[in-house]
Amino acid sequence: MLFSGKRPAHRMTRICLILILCFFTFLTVTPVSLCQFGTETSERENEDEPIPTYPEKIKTRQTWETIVDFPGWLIQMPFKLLFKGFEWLVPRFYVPGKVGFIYDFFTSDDGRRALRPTVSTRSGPGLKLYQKDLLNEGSKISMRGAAYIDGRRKAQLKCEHFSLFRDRLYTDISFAYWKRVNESFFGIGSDTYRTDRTSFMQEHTEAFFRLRFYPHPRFNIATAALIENNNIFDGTSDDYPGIYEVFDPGSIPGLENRIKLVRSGLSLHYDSRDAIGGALSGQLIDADVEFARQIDGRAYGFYKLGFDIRQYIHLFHHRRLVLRMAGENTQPLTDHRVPFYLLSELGRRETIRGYHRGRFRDLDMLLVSTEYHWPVWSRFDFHLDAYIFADAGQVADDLLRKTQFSNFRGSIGFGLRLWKPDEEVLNFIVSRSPEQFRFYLTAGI
Amino acid sequence: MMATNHKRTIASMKLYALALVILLTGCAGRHPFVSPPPMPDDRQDIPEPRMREYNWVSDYINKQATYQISQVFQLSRQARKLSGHSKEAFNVNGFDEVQNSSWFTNRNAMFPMTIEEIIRGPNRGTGPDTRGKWIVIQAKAEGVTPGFTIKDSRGDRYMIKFDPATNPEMASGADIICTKLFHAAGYNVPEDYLTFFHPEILELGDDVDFVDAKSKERYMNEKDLQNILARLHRLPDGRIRAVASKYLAGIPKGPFAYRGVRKDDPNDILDHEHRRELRGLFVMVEWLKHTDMKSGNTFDSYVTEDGKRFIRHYLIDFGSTLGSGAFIAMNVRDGHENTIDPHALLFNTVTLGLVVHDYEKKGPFLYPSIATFQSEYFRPNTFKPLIPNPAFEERTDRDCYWGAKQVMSFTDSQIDAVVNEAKYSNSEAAAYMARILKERRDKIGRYWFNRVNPLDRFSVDVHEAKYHLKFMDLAVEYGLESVESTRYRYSLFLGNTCLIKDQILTDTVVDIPEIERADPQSAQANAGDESGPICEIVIHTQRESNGRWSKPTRIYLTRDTISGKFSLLGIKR
Repeated sequence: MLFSGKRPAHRMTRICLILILCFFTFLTVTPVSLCQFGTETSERENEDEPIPTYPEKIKTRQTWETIVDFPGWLIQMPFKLLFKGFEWLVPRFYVPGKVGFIYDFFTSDDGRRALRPTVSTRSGPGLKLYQKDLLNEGSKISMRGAAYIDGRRKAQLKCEHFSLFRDRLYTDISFAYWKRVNESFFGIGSDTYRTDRTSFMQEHTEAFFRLRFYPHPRFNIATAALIENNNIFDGTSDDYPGIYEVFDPGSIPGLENRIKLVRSGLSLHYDSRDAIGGALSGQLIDADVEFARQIDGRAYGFYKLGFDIRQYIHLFHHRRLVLRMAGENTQPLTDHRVPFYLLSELGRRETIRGYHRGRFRDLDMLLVSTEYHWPVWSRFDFHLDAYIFADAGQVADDLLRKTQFSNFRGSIGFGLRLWKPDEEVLNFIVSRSPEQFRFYLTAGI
Repeated sequence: MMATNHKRTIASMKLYALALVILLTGCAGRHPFVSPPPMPDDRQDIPEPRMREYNWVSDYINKQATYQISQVFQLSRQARKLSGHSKEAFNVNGFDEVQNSSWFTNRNAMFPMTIEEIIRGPNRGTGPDTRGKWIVIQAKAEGVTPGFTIKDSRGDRYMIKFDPATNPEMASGADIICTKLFHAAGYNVPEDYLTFFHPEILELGDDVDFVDAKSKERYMNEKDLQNILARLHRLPDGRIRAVASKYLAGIPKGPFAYRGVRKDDPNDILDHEHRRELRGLFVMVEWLKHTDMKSGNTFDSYVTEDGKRFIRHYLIDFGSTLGSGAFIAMNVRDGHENTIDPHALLFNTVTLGLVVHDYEKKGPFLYPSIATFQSEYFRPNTFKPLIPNPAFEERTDRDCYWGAKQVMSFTDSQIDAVVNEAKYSNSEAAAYMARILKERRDKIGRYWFNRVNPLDRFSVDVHEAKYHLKFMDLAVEYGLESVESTRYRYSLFLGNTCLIKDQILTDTVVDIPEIERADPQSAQANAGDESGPICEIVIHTQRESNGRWSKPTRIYLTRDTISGKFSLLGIKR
């Protein structure tokens, strides 16, 4: 039985060998015979004319080469077929200028108005329509919409840098709505556990107004006001319990719907970077003080002080170091609390990249970060930088008194950043913390 | 029983080993010289081929992905590369040269051209007539640099190409210089003229096809024309500088590929990647930093010459050469990396930017008209075109040596004259360009003449009934090495018999001994055929600079049995 079971396998081997042999015969013989066939046909078509004789094609491959290359030929065939497919398809769909035409169709002649795709891990894929230089140079109106099948939504209308008085006083206005369906809450404090993760959905609506005064082109003082409404629900995740399932609404501040807040503040902004897209040197400094209070109640209210300093250092030949230090201090008003989603937080693309968004929340936060960027590729206005980074930070309810070295959380990572001199086009980050790997992708934001 | 089997195994292994040794030593023996058969003339009358369509995106995918993958898995090619026996070009003669064809015509390297011939280049006329009207018959406004096709008062058609406003004289200067140099090297190029015209002579033709700024095809109107002219740089007298490229004679048949053959051209019988003139083109291209070496910058024209209709193959569009990137200054990475170069991307990423490439060290360019062209960080044999070129990837040292000979054939005065034709308004820029070209040329010569023994132009001379083999050391000839620092060593074989062994020469003349007298037995043995005995002279070269003996150059001579006269049969490098 065993013996009879092996025989078909032997037969198959023989058949395979015969097929391979036939294939080689086909490979070695066919080109010549086809060539001869082609010549004969053309000769027959012009019987009255003298038959032209053309030399045979010079054989540049020897038979042993065909045999030796056969295994490699088999391996590369799927890839080759794939790319050949692209090569075949492209001329059918791409006519020179068509890509430009599609691009230009969504871009005005002067390049000031355009429709662009956007991608963000937080709000999903979307579209952005903008118009630059509407009333004054540098002004911009933009509309952005993003949605994803899991229920994430974002809609935003922004009017930026509208001049009110020469080039000194500017205003920004924006309206935004977003819904994040699967945010994470691990508790408050620096000693929360990864396993305590709960899921919540946040629906947020805001109206924002800001006045900026520029005593110097690189420096501005701004005052801003924001009205926002927040609704918190259980998250859509099947893997983690909903926030209401684990926490009692009274135990966590902000765990309720329709929390309307008005926030106002004053900020200083100093930007001495030599370029926006790929700054080699300069500083970017932000400092702000904020006051927030609930509109239709007395439960929530706080002050917040914050700073964010970035120093760009050109090392050599477009290699640069970016050092960053940021901190926040939140003080609740007497008999008031701070909604958990407005607490200082660590663990997202803008803070410690190796941790889940909102991994650590508390009243205060301190963050230090170092990035080393180096150029990898460039073509026309596009530049690709690679970078490595290390982030570290901690949250505490009183950072001045309770900062402990052991409470610092850190992550390291690698990123690729595609940029143009005036903007960032794409950013891809892989980061690693003791808890997990995180990936981020942003484009066109 | 076991011991017997073991002994048998050892015995058979010894046999295999012996067979292998015999095979290897057999390979190392002297091979008789067989002159390659001459390539058939590829300018035979052929039926009209079809127009070949070209899509640059497909070409990019092919060269950057499909072709690269197939190369990786081509084990025979890898084996050849590892063993140092890459496939040599197929269309060379016994002297490692190419014969004239529809691809290439031996010019300056073989028959030094006069300054007048060099600067005239491919041009047969004086360019478009700027005294009469130019009728615009086609135009494009897409891209950064606009262009026209015009018909002048003589009825000739020209494509008019402009400089970018940011870099006046850059693209036009590069185009004019390269057209003349490529032509003098032997390649077919279009007639390109530097022209200065008043915009008033432009007249819009009827129903002019136009591709507007949004890549939309429509008829051109007067406003479009004025918009294009407004974007161009003007001279103080209001004229505009441009290159007028005359339409090529014959019927356009699309570009040629750097790989495979054109199937509807019966004259095209050799895969293009195995053509010497296309492989050796690499050296010309690295000299002139011609980065845009895609198929799209070539042109096949179905021409009629001497009553025969055939395809002539042209190189066109030299806007992306020297420091010019056609519509912007050339990116410093160009020439060092492909547009998307997986090797460079990986290398640049994993080395964390700690390796600073030479081209990154270069500061801002001195002259807008020259842009990023330089010689300081130029390293021969490191050049990469924007997309991989199959013919270049098959190149061997012999191909590049041949290419280096074309490059080195340009004298200082020839280069000065060609640069002068670019009519740079800044004389310092012109001098800089000429200097860079010469420095790059010399670097090429030093590099390739070091990799291949640069003995060339062999001749057999008779003096007082004694025969001498004369040759030229190109490194010495072109002033790259001195006579005093160079020594030669030669051996002379008659068949497998060594008559002279490692004789030192201080001159470039080898005395050929009286073969019958020296060794009548071998002479008799080798005098079997009508052509007489074949004599092989093996010459090595040693330079003081490195002290090593070079690889050999083998020269084969034959002696006529009747007249007793020696003649050259061929060489092997």
